[in-house]
Amino acid sequence: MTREEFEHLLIRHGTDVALWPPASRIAAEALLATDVAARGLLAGEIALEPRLAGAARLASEADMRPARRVTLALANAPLPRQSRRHPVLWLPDWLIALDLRPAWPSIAALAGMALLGFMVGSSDTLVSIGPAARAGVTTDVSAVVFEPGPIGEGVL
Amino acid sequence: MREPSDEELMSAIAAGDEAAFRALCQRYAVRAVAFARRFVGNGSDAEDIAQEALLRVWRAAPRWRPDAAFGTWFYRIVINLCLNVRRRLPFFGLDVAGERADPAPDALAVMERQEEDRALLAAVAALPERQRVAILLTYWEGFSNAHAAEILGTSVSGVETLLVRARRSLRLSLGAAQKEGQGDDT
Repeated sequence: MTREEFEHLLIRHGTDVALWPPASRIAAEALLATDVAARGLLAGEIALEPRLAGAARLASEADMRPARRVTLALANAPLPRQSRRHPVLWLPDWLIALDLRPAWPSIAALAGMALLGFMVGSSDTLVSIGPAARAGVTTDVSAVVFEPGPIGEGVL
Repeated sequence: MREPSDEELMSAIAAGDEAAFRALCQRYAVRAVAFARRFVGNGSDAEDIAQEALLRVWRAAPRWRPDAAFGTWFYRIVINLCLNVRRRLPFFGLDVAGERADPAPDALAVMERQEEDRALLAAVAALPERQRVAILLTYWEGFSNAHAAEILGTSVSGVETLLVRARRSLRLSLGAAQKEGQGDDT
């Protein structure tokens, strides 16, 4: 068992290794016996567990008061008209998929497009250029670009 | 008498039953406020989010399809609204910690606990959005990894990966905060 696998199993089964399924438990105990970092990881998780559990119990009263205000506001105000139009997309699903999707596919697509652009720009095999145009391309363009234009006599 | 299920209430709401809608509000307003307050870190925004989420439920009820549990759909609406607010406003960490429901033995212990809670909430607030949502759904809302995966539209192993990364970040940031605190004491 690698440390990475051990970390995943901590999430799945909790920090009490003795309660894990037998095969995972034996492998985890073997890892803990030899790997100091794995023991540190387990100690860190054991310390984190009660803090997360404690925060979960936080402020139930602090949530009740605003919740009561919300239900009162909804009970007293006239409710809007219900929408009976059938949606083209199931919007909440679509939105959450868009908002919370991992960033890497977008980054990979962008990198791919950049690479494709570079390949197209730097390779003449992808773009067919006729002999006449090719001759034009191979002429010294610097003269065209940088040669100063004739200055009219009237200017001086 | 048996309490109607969320899905039964939704069927009634779809037919325009306002009493059923109010019963659903009683059931879900506190969950929406709690989740939103921990996500955006701001009580008044959390109230607005909860109200808007419930109004969306009312408006969309005739179009609701019971493909998934109502709770799953509702949390998706709340998360979307939270994401919109978070993009508009910064996180206000001080509003979130509030007070513990259980009384502490003395004032010093209460202060220490509140300080710890604030550090944890600030560390959670600093997580990337997906990791933060995964932590809030599993530890704060008490959902299983499978249910969190359904809400997030990902696989169980995807949620586990998010939780591994989130907890790694939390261990690092809380460990660093603790060391700083000890440094201040000396």
